Amino acid sequence: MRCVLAPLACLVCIAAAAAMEPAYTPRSDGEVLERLTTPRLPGMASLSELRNQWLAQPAHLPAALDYARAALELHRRDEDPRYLGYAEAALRPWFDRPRPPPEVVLMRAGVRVARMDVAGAEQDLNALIESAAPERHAARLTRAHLRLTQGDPAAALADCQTVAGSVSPLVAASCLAGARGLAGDSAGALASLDQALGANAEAPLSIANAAFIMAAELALRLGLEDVARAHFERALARMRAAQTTDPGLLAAYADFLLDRSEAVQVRALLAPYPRHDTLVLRLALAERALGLAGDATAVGAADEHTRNLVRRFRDMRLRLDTTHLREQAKLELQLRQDPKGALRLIQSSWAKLREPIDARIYLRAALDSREPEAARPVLDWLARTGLQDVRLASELAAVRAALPR
Amino acid sequence: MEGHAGLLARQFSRLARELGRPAGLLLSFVLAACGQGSDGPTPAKMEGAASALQAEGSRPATKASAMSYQSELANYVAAIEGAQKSIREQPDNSLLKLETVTLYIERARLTGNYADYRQAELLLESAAAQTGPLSKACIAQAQLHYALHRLGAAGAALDACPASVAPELVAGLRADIAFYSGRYLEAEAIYVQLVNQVGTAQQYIRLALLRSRMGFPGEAAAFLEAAEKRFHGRSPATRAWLKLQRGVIAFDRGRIDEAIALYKLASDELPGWWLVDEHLAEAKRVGADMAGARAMYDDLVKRTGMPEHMDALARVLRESENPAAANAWVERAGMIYRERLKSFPEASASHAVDHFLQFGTPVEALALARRSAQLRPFGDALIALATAQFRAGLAGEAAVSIEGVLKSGWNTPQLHAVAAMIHAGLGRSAEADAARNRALALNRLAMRMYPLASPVQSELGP
Repeated sequence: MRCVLAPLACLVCIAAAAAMEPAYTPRSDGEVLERLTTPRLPGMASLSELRNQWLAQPAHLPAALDYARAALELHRRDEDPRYLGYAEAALRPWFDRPRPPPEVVLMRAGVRVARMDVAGAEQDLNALIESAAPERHAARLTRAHLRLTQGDPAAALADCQTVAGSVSPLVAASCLAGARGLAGDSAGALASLDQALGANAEAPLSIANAAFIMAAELALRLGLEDVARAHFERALARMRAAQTTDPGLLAAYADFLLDRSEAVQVRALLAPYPRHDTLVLRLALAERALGLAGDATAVGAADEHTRNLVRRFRDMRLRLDTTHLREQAKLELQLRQDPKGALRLIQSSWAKLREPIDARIYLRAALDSREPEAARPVLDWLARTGLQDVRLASELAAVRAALPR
Repeated sequence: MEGHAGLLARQFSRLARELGRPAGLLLSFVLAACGQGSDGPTPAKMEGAASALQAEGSRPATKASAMSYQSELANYVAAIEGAQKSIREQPDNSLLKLETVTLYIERARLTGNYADYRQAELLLESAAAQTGPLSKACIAQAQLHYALHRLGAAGAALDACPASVAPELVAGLRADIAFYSGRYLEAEAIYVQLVNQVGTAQQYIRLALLRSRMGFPGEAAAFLEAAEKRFHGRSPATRAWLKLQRGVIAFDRGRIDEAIALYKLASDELPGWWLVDEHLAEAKRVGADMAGARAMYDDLVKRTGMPEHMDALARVLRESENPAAANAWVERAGMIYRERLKSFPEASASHAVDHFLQFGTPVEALALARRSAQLRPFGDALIALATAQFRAGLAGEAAVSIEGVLKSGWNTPQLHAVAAMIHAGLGRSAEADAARNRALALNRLAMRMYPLASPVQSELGP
């Protein structure tokens, strides 16, 4: 931490942190605290090489873009917010311009979404969509996905339909399927997407796996567990073959397995990812389940992971980082048995994220808090979108039963 | 971002134009690898060296020291006007028309103006209508078809050549056709034979350009130097072109300073030639001299009105304080490309690919790339096809295309850079790393110089 410009503030932070937990002092110089690897993406220079190239020519946009793009990709892979900072630092000179280059604006939108600055991201995306820059297609597609995460299928569908002719068939199919599924036509959406997946078997990894995940999600809404599992496993096989990490895929698959009480599989799946908050959460849930089934070592592991997550989330909030509210709510609800805390968190998150998984956490938190009325926004949203999801059925029935007629 | 077909493709296509031979002075070289690529309006390269050299000896020469691009062009204009006047006076003289055809082709190479190809075509048709198929016109006919990317028709024209036509002319053109058809071994065998049996500058150039695409840039540079030593003509355009080619080879090796030095030598030989200036501008851009590149592209657009220069200017403007200024140039370039595609569907397909890869839809770009690769299935066109396939989301097909190029013997930094990015996109890490290493071994800047546009995806990530 650099304490040059604001030493007092730094001291305050350090003091606050120290008050929360004593600093760890290594017992010797030989003690290994953490093994760091040089981050690198396949077929690309290492991040440090790209950084050096950028530092050699900090005013040269291609060098800055190469570095920032790699950092963003690594952020998606590792969920480490430091990478967002790297990207922002490289692109700062262009961010500060009144009219940044379109590639920079698109990348800034991605950074802003990752930081949950949805309003800022929308501003960037809208500016690109209204421009003649070729990036307008990616911007519209990004906005469509943003609308999906915001639970607005009609707006998403409009963007998907507009952009369909300017993107690859599988990207278009995924976008349209997402919108249709959220509007209640999961069966039709899944059929179309399966067809597109069959016709585009060798799409780029990121596109194919996004489609597989979407297909699995649609299948789960319909209760087609075997279909969902097949899609997950195809995506997982591709991810492993590529020796990369897709936290979204792993988290979604782990949730699926946890719902089916396959905690052993979850532990095996997620053990290699101790640095991903979203995955450690699922790992802790699996360990908790295993502990309840009699595995004593799992209990200790679950407790330790839970403590770590609590600390990480607390640190994030101290940094004014509002990401992972959903995960924190899930932690409070399922690991810390604090439904009221979970409800407050998911309510905050609901303002920005409205996906079926959020609705499920929201409903359960409202029920367990004995505040069914608090779930009204979810009921209204379901009525508005027409979403059908068998995973919500029991919570929905319970909430409706608990509400005054 | 540079469009997919990338710098290399554009460079090569320039080669086509590079071969321009100023009327009267004569640049009879052909540049084999020249027009390869995508951009140049003039693909033809290997024209008959013999006829060129003969022309060099027979045509009125201008003092080289006084030559500039403008004076060279003025010579062509005067020569064509004179020829047209003669045709009007002797409308039945088909040989005169054939000579004029050659002038039009040469001027097209110098200026990049497609209209001259149309004039050449009309004259050839007129001559044939008068006297029936002209066996003596076979070389001119073949050259014109070749320049317009009609390889089959060019080969057929050569088949019609009588025995009296110099065999090295026919052989050279056949080898050029083989090269652009992806039959590199066949082309090389003939080029080597021509070097050993004829040994003129032109034969060395052909071999140099082929070897430069086969992974031997040092050897290619040496062949070009040998060609320069063997060129004793007075044409400043030829001398400029030879230096330009050495610069292109240095550029493709990532030696930007060396390339700029050679380009400047080329410019000294024929000041004001847009072909040299566009290479200089590109080298400035890659070398991060954006202000210098922008000034040159601004000037080039005004001087040439070529869509390639409009696209290049737009790319620079997109990084400027006012990125929206690029839009008008992109739109204008797109209109010109669409017009060209109507008028010269074969010749303009490869040149338009770059534009549509960056500024058009994946579907448009893929259709053009497929057409181009069908017309001339050589390395650069197939790399552009792979690029278009990848952008269209057909990563598996793109990998198949790029593997085909790798197996063919083509060996350029751009090939390996594009292969690395396609493999990475497919999640084939080991293959991606290996391809990247091969690219960097040939050009330490390869990954930056030949970026591959990804398919349009959401910025929210997978």
